[in-house]
Amino acid sequence: MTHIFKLQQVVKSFGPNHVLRGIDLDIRRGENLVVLGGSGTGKSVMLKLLIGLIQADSGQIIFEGQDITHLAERAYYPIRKRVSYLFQGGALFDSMNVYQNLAYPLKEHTDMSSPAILAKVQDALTKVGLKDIEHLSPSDLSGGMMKRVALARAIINEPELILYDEPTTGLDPITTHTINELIRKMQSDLNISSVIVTHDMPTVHRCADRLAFLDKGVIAFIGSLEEARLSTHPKLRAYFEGEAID
Amino acid sequence: MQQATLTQMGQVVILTGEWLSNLFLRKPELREWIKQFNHIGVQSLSITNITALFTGMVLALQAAYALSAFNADVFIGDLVSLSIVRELGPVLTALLVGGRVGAGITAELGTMKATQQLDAMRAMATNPVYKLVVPRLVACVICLPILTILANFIGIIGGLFIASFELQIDGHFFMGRVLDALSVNDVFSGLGKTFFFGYFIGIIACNNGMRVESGAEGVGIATTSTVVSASIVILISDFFLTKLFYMLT
Repeated sequence: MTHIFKLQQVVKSFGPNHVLRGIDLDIRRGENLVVLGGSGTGKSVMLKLLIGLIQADSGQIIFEGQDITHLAERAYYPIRKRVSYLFQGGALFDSMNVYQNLAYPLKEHTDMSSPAILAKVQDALTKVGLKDIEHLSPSDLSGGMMKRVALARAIINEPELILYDEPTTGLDPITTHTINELIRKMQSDLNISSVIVTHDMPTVHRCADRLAFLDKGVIAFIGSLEEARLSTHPKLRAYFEGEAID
Repeated sequence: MQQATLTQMGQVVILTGEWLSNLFLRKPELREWIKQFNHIGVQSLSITNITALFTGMVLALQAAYALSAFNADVFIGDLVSLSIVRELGPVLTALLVGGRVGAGITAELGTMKATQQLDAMRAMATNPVYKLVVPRLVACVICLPILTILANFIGIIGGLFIASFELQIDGHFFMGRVLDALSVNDVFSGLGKTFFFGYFIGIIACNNGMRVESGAEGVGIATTSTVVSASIVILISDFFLTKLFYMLT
């Protein structure tokens, strides 16, 4: 399995707050990597570093063999066209309706005609199980619908990798299940790899091909789900046992 | 000078550079420009014109009070027109637009920042400066002079109204004094300043909005900061711009 991203000793601080203290991680093509960790452990920061939304203080981020740790903003554009980011709250543009939100990346980066864009928008919505909502504004959508529309926007440009930032946080169990199934479907049907940042155990169980556990600014564990269950790391055990008690 | 102020000045300089490069090197998004012209220009008309009307009326009354002591009521038209065209029209319009539009821009961009919509734009390989800052700043720079021209006209009409109906001064005489008193330099000096005021309002508002750090509280702080900063910058720069245009004309 080839690497898409490779992180080597990546460090990131915000003032006196040392968030990442030396992350080593590889992201492989074709797999779903789940990054588990508590709130404020730097999971989202790590995702943002991957596509240059913020830049690392030190260490290296390698994308397909090229060091992309410190590039100019525009130099990240080719990577961002191939790697989509699903934000925690969806980050839909609230001045635009659903159609305009989904059409946005197509209008920006392609010469597609309006009918072709409409067809592609409808197709993307169908893939996430939504229909006839193109005219709605984000404020008309429920939390689950908003996540699904955001996912439709993330896949509309046919990316190779999607970075999911807590895709199921704040959702009810049924909607969580729907989103988890969609993440798997993106992998199986569209061959999209994923990095899923979460602290939600159902998402871990349903979506993870590999699990990385982020604690105190470093990757404290990385391996398969089976290996994670046998891990002696106390916090990681607490995640699995906490779920067993429930 | 505080470090925060210097930091903000540096940010403004950088944002100005990005604005200029996006303005001149990329195709304008006319639809978004028109939307902002409407929002920033057309929708500010009522507040700026009402203020100008009553400022002109008050100015005429105050002038009558002061000048009648010297039996110089005939110069009311001179005083009203020069005050409005050289100073009050540009400055009051800028302060009002700074309050209304500046606060609106910061709140809008700040909310977009807080809800990660700006990051979403960047993550989709698009430039928020090009999409958001360029249209707003262009609209500020172009609309403020136009709003000021209208405010000047309406302010003088306010003065004419009071002169005619309250002070029993002949309307033709009043307008004759206005036209005699005003020179091209007066109009140029007053309007020239408004391009700078428009730039200050737009750049401060956009910069504060795009740098909101936290949620609702951060948006509130940034919005207040925009109104205060824009007002102070307008008033201070007015002095230096007046001197500059005085030297130029």
